[in-house]
Amino acid sequence: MIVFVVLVSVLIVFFSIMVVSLKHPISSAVSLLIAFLLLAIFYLLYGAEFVAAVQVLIYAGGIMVLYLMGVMFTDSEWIKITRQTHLQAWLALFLVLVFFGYFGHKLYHSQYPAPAVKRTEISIAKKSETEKKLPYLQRETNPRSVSVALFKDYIYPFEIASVLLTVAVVGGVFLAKKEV
Amino acid sequence: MNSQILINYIAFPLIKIAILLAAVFTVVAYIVLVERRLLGFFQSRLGPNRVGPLGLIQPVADGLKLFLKEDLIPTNANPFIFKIAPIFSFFPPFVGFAVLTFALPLIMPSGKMHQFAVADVDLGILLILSLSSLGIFGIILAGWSSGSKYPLFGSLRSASQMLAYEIPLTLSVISVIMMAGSFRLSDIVTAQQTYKFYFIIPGIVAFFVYLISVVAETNRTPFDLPEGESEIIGFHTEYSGMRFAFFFMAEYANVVLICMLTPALFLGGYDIPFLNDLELYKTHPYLVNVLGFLSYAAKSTLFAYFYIWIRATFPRYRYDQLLKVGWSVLFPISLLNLFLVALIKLFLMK
Repeated sequence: MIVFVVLVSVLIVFFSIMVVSLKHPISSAVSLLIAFLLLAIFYLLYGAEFVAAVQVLIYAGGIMVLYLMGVMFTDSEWIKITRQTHLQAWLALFLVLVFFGYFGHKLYHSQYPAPAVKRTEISIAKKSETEKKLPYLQRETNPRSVSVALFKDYIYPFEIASVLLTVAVVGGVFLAKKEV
Repeated sequence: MNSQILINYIAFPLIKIAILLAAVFTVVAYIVLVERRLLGFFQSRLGPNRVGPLGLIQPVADGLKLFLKEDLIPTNANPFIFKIAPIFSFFPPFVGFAVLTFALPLIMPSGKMHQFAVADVDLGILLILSLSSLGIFGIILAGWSSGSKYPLFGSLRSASQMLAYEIPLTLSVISVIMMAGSFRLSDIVTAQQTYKFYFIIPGIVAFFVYLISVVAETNRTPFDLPEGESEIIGFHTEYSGMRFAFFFMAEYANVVLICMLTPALFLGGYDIPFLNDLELYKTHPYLVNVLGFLSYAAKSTLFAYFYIWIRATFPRYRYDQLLKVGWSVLFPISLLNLFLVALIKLFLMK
């Protein structure tokens, strides 16, 4: 399996570089799409099927469509004469190396597998009579453990994130409106 | 490698896939004929009935004609993307068939259980939804890479339509998932068998939202603006021959997929009406398998007839009306319905 993980990781990095280095915006968008799909495969390799499906549904199927639609409205003749790099590239390279070094150092010294977090046991205490008869509710599945983690163990971060997203949506509508 | 593993994990699934794909391709080819004949009857004419008895060899003739046509690529087109765009449309519906379950598990004489599905995975319906969200790329890339502005407009129209209707569709499917408590399609049917009612009863609003959204998602009348066969120019105008046939088959494969998915979600799937399947299954498993499969087939066929009936009945929406229906009618209704279904699940479904 480690062969596949390395292969997929290398491909993700390759297509991510392609996103910023290819000249034509549609080619960049297609590279980004491929990178998203490869990321879903990466999740699948680690057994996170639910996250993989959501990755395809939201990033590949939703956000990429909006990107592509935006890109289609850009003027491709103008893009051909635009330079791809500028002076900030050196600063960016420096920062990338600093962060890469820092995270590499942290990752190298981190504990693997991560120390066990106290998790809520999956048990639906208030099951109704019919629900007790359903065999599949007794089984632990990937979506069910994700939902328990989200709605029990990490409910406060989850709710705060939802408030943040609502604020972002309201802000977006406010900015897009011509008159308030 | 152990020969037992080879049989169980490679040979057996491959045989299942081959059988399923053969069946699906046949059904996809013949639903086109069925639709044309039925539309003929709805409009008091005969429809195609010349090729073979009752016109039954018509799909072969159509396929042969498309296969022999020249594959043109416009000069302005981006050849690579122009060539791969049909594939993006073509593969998602066919992969979606893999997670459908057709009957209760087959009990072998050795006591092992075999699912009537290629891959009855935990993600089930979520997999179909995420794959169908990829189908939109075929349309966008096809329209853009044709190098002509009218297909581009067609693809932009279709992309915003599919985005608008994907959200109510997903929300109405979520209400079914909530009632069943699982993404897996066989679990959803088991839940309906155990509760002894079909999810169309508590989810009647969800069913109607779902119905309207799938008609829009599969680009059919009254929402067939992406193609607009008769007057507006669609995204696949520049395509010809087999590449056009890929889009055509993808559309009908989506229709067939929807016709098989809807009974599983809302109408009990392979549950036999007016019978206690799970009790009977304990004594006569094979009988329940056969009857369940037939009942599933009957429900799907009836739904397919209904689907064609919709096409024959309604005129096309104007584009702004279509987006308005999607965003400001269906979206709020499906959100409210989600809340309602949560209440039903909490207090009524004991």
